[in-house]
Amino acid sequence: MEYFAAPVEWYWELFPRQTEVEEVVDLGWVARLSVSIIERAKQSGDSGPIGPAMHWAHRFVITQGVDGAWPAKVNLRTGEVVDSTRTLGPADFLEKLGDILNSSEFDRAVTRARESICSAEAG
Amino acid sequence: MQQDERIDLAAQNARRNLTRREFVRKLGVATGSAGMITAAFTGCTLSTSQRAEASEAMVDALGKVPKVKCSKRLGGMEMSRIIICQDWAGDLFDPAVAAGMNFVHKAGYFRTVPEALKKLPRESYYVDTTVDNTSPGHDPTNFDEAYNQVKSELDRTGLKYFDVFRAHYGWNTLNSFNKGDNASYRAFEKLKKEGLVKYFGVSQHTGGGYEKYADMLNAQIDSGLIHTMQLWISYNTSAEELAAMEKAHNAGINIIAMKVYAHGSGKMRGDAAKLTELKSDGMVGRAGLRYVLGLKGANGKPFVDAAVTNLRNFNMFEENVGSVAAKVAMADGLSYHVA
Repeated sequence: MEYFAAPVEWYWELFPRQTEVEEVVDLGWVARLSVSIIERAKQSGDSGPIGPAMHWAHRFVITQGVDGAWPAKVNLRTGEVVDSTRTLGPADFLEKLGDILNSSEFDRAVTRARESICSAEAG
Repeated sequence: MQQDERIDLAAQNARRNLTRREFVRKLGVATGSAGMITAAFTGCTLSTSQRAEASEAMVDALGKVPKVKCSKRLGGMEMSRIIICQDWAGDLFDPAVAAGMNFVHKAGYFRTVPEALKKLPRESYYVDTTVDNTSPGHDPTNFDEAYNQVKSELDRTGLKYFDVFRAHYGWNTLNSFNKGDNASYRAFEKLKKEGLVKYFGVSQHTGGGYEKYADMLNAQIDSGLIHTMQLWISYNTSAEELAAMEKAHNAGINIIAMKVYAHGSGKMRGDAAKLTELKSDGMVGRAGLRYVLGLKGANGKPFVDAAVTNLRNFNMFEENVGSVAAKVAMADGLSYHVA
């Protein structure tokens, strides 16, 4: 499993890509990659590889929409949202990250995403 | 992490356990050499007792992290030049305290305070809370959110008080800062009267959606209300921004660097001469910290008091904390003590 970090001057700087030339990324994939990094860190006892994912988490927190979700596909270089599809995938990642970091920093974002799911189910 | 760097997670996790004999032999060789202690254990998974033993040896080899006496505006606080972050790996708090680090950033986010801090007298270390009504996606005019966050964090952590109320992410426009007449400062004043916070600070971010960094910093300096600023400072920071930071420090504002690695490592990695000058060949993290903590103003004195960095394991700890720790810096012919 490997990824390439986006250049620091890009809108979604340092976000992961599957190839060196890729610009459009599925944020649900970023979330799943992040969860797998956390799981591997738990198994190995070394949280070193989590460092970059913490940066991604902070970006997820400040880019969460008022609906509690995130755009599913974005252009990492320009920041453009590629289509209207939304994802709640980052919430699972943020919840697991908060647990492993002993941190409440992501709790509000996770709650907002969960409330979004509940209201969608109720609707 | 260098831009466009390929990160192979499988390789990062290929590790093996060590027998007691192997561990003792490796530790003995490492402590007797001039290299990094943690390098001896690359690719190994240490048991809890092995980690504790290696940690003690590492701290002993590093020496103490020097402290800087901040201005009267911050009560003359003596702050370690590298500070702890709440979300560090849990087993780094003991070596951090042992190395003399005495300030914890983002402490309000602790779900439970680590034992390494709990066992210390509360007055022997400093903490800040990053207050989120100014974070993107929140309402910077929301007094109640700011006030209630601090109250609930103190209830949860039992920290009694926060030394610094730090507006998280800062303000994105001059209007929202409003020369200091804003909800964050009003919440700070109320909490200060209640004895729950002492100093007012900001963790000012920049980039998309924010007005020009130097303009934001100058407005905050001119308000006279800010005691401490945490700022994006790296090998990539522009001269204009550094000048605003120097001006802030000259006004008595404590300056803490953040994003040292994230935003400066790419440029630093590509500058072999700078790495050598900073006695940090092959250690980009160490070089970045030595660069920012060595920045000097027109008066010849450092204007960055401290730096916060994201440390996740002993190897990162040794490389980064070794940037300024007394024994390592001295061996490299450098000093980060501030007279």
